[in-house]
Amino acid sequence: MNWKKHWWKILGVLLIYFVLVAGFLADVPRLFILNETIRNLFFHVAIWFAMFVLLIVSVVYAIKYLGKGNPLDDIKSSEFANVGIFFGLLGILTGSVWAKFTWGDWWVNDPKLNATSISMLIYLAYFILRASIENPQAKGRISAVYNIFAFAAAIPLIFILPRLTDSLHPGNGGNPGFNNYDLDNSLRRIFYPSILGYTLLGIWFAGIRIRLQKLKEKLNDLELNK
Amino acid sequence: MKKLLHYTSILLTLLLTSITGLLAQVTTESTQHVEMADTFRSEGKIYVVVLVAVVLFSGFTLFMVLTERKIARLEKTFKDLKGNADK
Repeated sequence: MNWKKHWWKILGVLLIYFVLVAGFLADVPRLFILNETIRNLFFHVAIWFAMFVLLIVSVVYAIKYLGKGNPLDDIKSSEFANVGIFFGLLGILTGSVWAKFTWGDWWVNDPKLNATSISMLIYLAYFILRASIENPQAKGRISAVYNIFAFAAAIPLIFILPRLTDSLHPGNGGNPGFNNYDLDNSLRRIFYPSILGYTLLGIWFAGIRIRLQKLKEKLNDLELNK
Repeated sequence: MKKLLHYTSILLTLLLTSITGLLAQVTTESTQHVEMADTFRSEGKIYVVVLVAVVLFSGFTLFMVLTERKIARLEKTFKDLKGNADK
């Protein structure tokens, strides 16, 4: 990723501007229970997708680090996980607001909600693990292995388990996903750009954090070499 | 022959009436009123929502751009420092 190039950052910003305007002004399917909240598809669901992309990038760099031991890969792995979990938190918050208005409560005992919370907690433990180890090589190797485990746990938890049992959540537990409602692609036209926009913003965010980390390391090196 | 024609026409009519009846039920259900924010929109208030969202996101974008510039400046400083140290 070339952090100095700006076109993809501008693209991400423009896409989200588009989603903010079109998401509220465009016609949407008129459905019971959901009413206007169906528009949250463009925000809540898109953010979860973007989170998943960021976590994939994170685990790829974790594997790379285990292979080559380049400390930059470790920084990238942890910062992409950082932004990914931040997006996950936003996903949970936006989902909670959506739940209040459609299901009647800020939180329900639902397999999808429980599974995503567990996945978030597993990733939070990743950060605590990193903070608890001093030696940079040990920190890198142990947290990279944990990253792989956390990602491998997240997939069945978030995508598979909720579909096997009863759930309130759309797309799980026998409920139709939004494919059934979006018969004329009016939702997809805004949904797909939204995923791309949030992913690009997430990458930009991660890039800023990575560059900051690199600068901190350089500062440390300079101070050590004085 | 005539009897067969009569019976077939009665059967056909019954069939068609029942199908139309069923279809009519489906259509009435779909024209049942789903509450949406139509009044809200007709009063133009939706534009307030859009404007607020756009303003908030513009603030976020501005923050990102300023941070990006700060980091670019820091990176340049380090590069120059490193350049001087190597001399």
